[in-house]
Amino acid sequence: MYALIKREIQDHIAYFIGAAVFSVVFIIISFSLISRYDSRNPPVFLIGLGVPAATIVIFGICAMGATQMYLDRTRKISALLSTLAVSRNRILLARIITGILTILILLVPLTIAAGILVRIFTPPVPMFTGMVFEISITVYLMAFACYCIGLQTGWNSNPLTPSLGALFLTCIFIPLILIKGFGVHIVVILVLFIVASLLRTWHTFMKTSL
Amino acid sequence: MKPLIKGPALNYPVKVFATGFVVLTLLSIPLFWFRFICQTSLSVRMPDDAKGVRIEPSSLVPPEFENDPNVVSHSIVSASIPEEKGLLSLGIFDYFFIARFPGGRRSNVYFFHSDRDCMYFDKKTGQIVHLYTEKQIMPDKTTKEKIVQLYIGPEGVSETPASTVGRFISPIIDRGWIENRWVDIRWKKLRDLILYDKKLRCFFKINFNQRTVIKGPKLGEDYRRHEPIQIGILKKK
Repeated sequence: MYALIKREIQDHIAYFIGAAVFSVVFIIISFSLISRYDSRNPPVFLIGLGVPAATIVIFGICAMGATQMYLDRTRKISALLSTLAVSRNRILLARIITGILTILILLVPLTIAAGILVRIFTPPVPMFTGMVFEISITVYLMAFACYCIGLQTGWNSNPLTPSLGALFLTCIFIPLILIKGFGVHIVVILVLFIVASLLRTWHTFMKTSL
Repeated sequence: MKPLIKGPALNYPVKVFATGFVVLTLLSIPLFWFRFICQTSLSVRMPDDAKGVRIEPSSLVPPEFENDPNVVSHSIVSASIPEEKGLLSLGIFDYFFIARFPGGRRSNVYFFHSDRDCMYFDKKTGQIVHLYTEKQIMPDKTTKEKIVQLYIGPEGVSETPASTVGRFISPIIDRGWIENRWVDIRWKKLRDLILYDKKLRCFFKINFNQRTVIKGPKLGEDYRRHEPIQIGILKKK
């Protein structure tokens, strides 16, 4: 299993580096934004930088799932691995663990930074108690849900479908945060969506002949 | 290694349900936006006259009263479409600007004007912390601002965090008290705050001037169905 995960990481090392770089970028933006914040003269440049960076990250996570499945489909990676007495369950599980690792590399430092910033810069009033947790859990699940969309659209031999399909579905799905905000409701929806997506991916992956 | 998911998870109906749920979720989002745009557009374009109706006399009162020549004003029934909240009705704006904002339904901060003028429930200590400034007249007739910091628990009021005042668990306070607070401060006399603790099932009356807390009788088990959810002007639907 460890070897499978290692191979997945090596195959998609660009995403890991990207996640680490964007994590640092977001931490710098957050610190600069809060330390320089002035309601009369808000740092528009930093906000402007954060929005496209967040968009790239979301599409990047989705693209990682799509790439993993697309490369497998076109290069017959799991067909080759199956000849080495590795079960397809394990191959997919290693793939999903790799995806989760990427999301964690991106978001865990950011969550820690957010927690520190809230402690340093907010008044000693429990105004933001629970907010960091609620927002973080929603963002983690949303990122993983986007990754799951990538996994589903990626299992296709036509190169246009994974890229455009994932892009289109992510654009539709992300505004769910706008509609539901943060909290229990969106967490339940996202968990159900993730479970359904993983079941579907698992079923498709297991039943497709290699 | 045994397969992680076997049997039912790999059944075709499971895939159908999973696909159905994914499609339903993804389809419901554009449908929501479509409804949102239609609703907002309708609300903006609808003339004001069409947004409400007023019936006078209401015909709900018996004719002998309604037709009485001594009646000063007849009965009225009116109904109106509530103002469209627009973007504020979206979950993310509701979360940041209403629910989590001081005084919001999911905030432990009852009001926050500054570090020196606020009131909140501290979950760790189980006490309500109230900070405000009081003007003191000194012997040389000059005025000096003094910061008052009160820690309120079910057993009393303290000027320092003390466990002797006890712990609230899930308090709800009279929101009307906050609205009237400015007037009270101007008159240098804060009125009593009524508070109810959902877990302790008791009403409390807090007197800030005498620094006392009066505990009401515990609501009996028979009244489980009648749980207070708000004190003062009701805003919940």
